Amino acid sequence: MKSFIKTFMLLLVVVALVSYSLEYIYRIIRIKGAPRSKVDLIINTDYEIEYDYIVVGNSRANFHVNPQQIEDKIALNGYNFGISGSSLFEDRLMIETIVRKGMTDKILWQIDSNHNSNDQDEAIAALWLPYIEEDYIFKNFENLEIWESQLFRSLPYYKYLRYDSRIGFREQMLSLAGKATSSTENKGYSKTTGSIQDSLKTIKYLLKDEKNLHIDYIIKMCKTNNVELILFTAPIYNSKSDFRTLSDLYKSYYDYSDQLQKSKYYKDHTHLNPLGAELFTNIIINDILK
Amino acid sequence: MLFNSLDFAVFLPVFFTLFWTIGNKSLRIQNLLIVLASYIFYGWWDWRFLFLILLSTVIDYTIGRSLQNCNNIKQRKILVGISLVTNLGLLGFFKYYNFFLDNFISAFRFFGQEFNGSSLNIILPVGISFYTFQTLSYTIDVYRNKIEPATDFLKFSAYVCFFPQLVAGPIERATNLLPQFSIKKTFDSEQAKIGLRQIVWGLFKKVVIADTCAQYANQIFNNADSYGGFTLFMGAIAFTFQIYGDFSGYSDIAIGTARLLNFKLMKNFNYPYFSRDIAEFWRRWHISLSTWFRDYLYIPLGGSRVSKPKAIFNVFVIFVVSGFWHGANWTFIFWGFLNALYIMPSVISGKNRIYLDSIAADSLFPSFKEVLLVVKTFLLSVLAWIFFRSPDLEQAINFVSNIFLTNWKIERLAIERYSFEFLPLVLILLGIEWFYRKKEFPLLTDKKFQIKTIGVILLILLFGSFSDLNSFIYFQF
Repeated sequence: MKSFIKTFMLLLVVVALVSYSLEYIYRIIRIKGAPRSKVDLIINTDYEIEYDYIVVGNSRANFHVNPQQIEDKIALNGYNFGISGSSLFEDRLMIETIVRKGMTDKILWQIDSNHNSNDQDEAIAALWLPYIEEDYIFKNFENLEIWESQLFRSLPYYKYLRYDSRIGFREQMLSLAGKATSSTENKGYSKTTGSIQDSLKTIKYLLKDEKNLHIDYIIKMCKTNNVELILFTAPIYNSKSDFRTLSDLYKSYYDYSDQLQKSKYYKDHTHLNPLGAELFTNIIINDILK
Repeated sequence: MLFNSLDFAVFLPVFFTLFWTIGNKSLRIQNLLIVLASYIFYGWWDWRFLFLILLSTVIDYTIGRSLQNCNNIKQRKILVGISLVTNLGLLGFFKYYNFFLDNFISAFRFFGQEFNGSSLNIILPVGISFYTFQTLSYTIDVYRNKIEPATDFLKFSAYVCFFPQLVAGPIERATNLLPQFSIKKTFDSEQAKIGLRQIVWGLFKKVVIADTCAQYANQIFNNADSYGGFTLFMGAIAFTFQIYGDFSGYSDIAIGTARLLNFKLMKNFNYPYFSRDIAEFWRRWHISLSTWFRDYLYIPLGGSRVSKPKAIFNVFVIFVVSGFWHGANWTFIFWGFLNALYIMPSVISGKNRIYLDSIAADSLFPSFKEVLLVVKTFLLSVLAWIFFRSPDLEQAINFVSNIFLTNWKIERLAIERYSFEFLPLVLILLGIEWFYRKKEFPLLTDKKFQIKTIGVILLILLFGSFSDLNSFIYFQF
């Protein structure tokens, strides 16, 4: 037994030493390397300018609002921090970071059927884990009762092992090599491609008639910090959903779900193609930003 | 509980400590601890299905005891029949009910008739195919008087639910495993160290190879219509290594865990992708299932000692049933059928046992002919895996035809990676396996300071992914 325990302890010590070392190395790469996501970008940038507005949300924000087009038309400087797949929990982390950094006094937040959920999206939430030493980020995870939160924070390298494909070796090496992700280009706006055929398929979301935990939190936070928060729902092809629930729940809410009802504007039922995005950005300019 | 989870990383050391401290007092305590731990291990996934294991255990134990006291051939046949009907009935209900129902409805509709039947929302109990086959082997062996029936329910329970191999094998025979529960275990430091290294090696195959390849295979197979020939081919290669790393990795962790407790489980994989023909491949892939079908189906059907047409028929039966064992889908059946076709030339010519030794047995490198044979066998298995992975036959056929009919260009996947980025890790695996192909597993021996093992641990820490999103493929079977 003694011989076995010696071998086991040797391997355990190796694991501990390597984990500590890699945690340290990855941390330095994260700070000094190229951003591999919009989360890396926002955390590691000292913003000297204040944006006129910032867009937040999932792919339906990311693909739909083009800040360059807005700048060209009305000379407002903005950025699209939308991340594909993001849930309202990750949006909350993003907005809290924006507010804490004092980056803008106007935030546009795309919400839709994700209003029904308070859960995290594991793959996107993982992008925030390298920064879980920050108290406010940790508290957000802890409040969501994610049982591993404490492990992510205190067990060296654990987060990278859990989510290697999102934040692990490959991402670190690309960051070290100075290869920033393309999602940070074009002021954060990403273009989709293609268009759907005319379709009889309809999209019908049933919305819960109760406030979302994260939206409620952000509304209060923005109010305290004098940041204007505007909620909106981007267009949906053949939508049969009734978003009046959201209008009733939130004051500054714009429902565009039934705008742009031609298939040529869509990549799929819930995502506009660049042509649709151009028209929708114009709507945002006229309704909200002008 | 997954072998690559934090839960298991806590569970195993706790159990190990209890087993070699409290359990050291008597054999009965050791077996009791194994049964309790195994039920916790299984119940961690869904405790409701523990009753199925218990039911299987009670039935086969009772039938085993009854067979012991029965000399009447007819009555013995009835007893073994009850075991077969019950075990296969449970398996059939949970795994195949909806498949048969859907196909009945389709068949009736084809002949212009309406057949009413509603699908049930059935959860497939994890590992049911594995423990069902294990208990069946016991009853059949008792019936054949190959082993004495178990007279201690606790020992028999431990044999049925032994947690290292409960949910995904190796499918142990009672002749090998059951007697091991009759001898009080003493700690064997050397075996435990080998077990530890085998767990490390299995973990490498699972979290580095399988889970990396899974990202590419899933992306490509789930969006097959969007990609060209080269990307589809890379997707098929990725799945080929995903399933190998996943299943053989699981087997290594299972065997290694058993070794920590001084149990010896059978070898389940023997470097299958270095096979020179399909017959050799099937002697090296999922050995515990292949030999199960050989002993309990192929040989009772007459095996090869029958007329040529009957022997050919028997081979088709084995492979098609083996395919169906994997899942209730025509894709698995076709996968089995395809493998039967592959092996047919060697069966007909009687050359299915020409490669019984290790490749390049006396040299470091293979001959040119061996390389060609290995590549041919590998590509045939890649083609078969496409059917195994695809959701239905139509998509599988489209996948295969698009490999040949669409452009071969390098494409970037939607996961922001090139389709071939997994290849360096696969080459590392193949290099290590080639170098140690004559050993049971590459880390079987190591120096005092465990240099090789530490090297593999570094690879795990650098490239491994322990996400819950990557479950073991064979759990679904």
